[in-house]
Amino acid sequence: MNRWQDDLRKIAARLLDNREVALVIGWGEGAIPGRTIPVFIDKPEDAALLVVNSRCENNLSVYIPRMKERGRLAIVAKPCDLRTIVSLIQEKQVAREDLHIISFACSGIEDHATGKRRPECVHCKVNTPPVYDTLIGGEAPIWQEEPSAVDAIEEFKKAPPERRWEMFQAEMAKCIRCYACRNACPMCYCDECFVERSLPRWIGEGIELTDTMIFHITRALHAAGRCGECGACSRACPMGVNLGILAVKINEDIEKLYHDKAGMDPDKPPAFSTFRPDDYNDFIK
Amino acid sequence: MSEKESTAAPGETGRFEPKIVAFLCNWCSYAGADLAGIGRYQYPPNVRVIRVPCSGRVDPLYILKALQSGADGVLVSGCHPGDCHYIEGNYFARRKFAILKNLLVHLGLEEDRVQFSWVSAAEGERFSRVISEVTETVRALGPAHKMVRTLDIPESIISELQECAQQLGPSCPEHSSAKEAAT
Repeated sequence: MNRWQDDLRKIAARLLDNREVALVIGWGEGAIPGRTIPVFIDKPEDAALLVVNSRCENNLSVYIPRMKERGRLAIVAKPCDLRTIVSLIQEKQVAREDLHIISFACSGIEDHATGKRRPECVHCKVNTPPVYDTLIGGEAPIWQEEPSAVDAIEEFKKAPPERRWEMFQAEMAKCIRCYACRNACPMCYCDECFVERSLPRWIGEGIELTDTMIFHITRALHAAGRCGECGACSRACPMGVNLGILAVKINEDIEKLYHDKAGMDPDKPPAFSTFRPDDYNDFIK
Repeated sequence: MSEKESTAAPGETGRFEPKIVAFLCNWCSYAGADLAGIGRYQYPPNVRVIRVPCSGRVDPLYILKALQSGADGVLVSGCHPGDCHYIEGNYFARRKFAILKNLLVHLGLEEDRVQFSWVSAAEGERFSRVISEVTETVRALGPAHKMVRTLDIPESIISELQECAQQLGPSCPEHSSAKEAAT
């Protein structure tokens, strides 16, 4: 991993030196030991701040829409982060030529509480970048530790409906509506979110349970067909809400019904921006 | 909670009468409902119709909001595929609704709470049949309780409020009649 980091620093310094990009968005060591923070590098000498390791949990593409005014951007991205970048390109939030994507093969992000691999990374099927400009490192390092045996999402799927509703309620009851999930999500770039609209006021500001449910279901539906399954929402959550129970189901359905996987091909429209006349119709009377 | 009980109040026949919110597209299903009226086709009076320009206009949020506000069932009805007034609105709607419905069932909501249909402007009889079917399936499910917003006020606060009301009663012009009733 150290060699990857050296490569990254050299590439970043070169890009800035040649004025190919105005800013490099990457990860740096955080103030809390073992945690990384986003760093924004605009001088070649600062490139030494960049790090790459299994603790680079933020999806940095969340900064693209608000940083693109600085000029051409270089961004360091995990393969899952890349899928959200592709979604941003599909939605014309950024032009492909205005980005220099630096990526690598990824073996997963470590949960800073347990030290084990994050559940979304255990399920990850896209651990090599679908598109990139520069690839650093080689093959993904093999993850030594075994993931925990209990898979919350599989358990949820297998439960009977009443139990599923109870489990969903229990997850939602944890939520304090801080909107960290929304703020960490690169696909939530709306200037005005429906939760903050006052005319009409869709949901209250408190932590009323049904309001919380509507927030999470609607957010998941807004991300449907665009979600790169990076898990940034779950990692950002201070209360440990398992948002995967919503996102995983939607992504599975989109793959099954519409044969689409978000963020894999910049030239293809997202699943909800297109249709086929012979789409799944059995649920309609 | 009291509102929920009124929802579950039995109709004339003593059965549970569900409240159903129906989002009907202006061009097909709403006209189909009109035709059902003109043709004197009977259908249960349980639906509350909301006219929308197109089934594609129906945001999943409307459906969730209807459930939260106490609807026992939600029906969205639009033009048959290929017949959309806006050419393709119902095709986009179909994709959204398939994902929404699967998600709600996945989360444990009853399958028939949220239903979808295609009814054209020429299908007055079919409209009455669809409404009857939807009403019967929702009736069979009983009153909605999942996702319904309720005001859970603790008993202690209710008794305190009642006490306050009793004490303030005579000085409050609105409660003068209550005073008379008490004396």
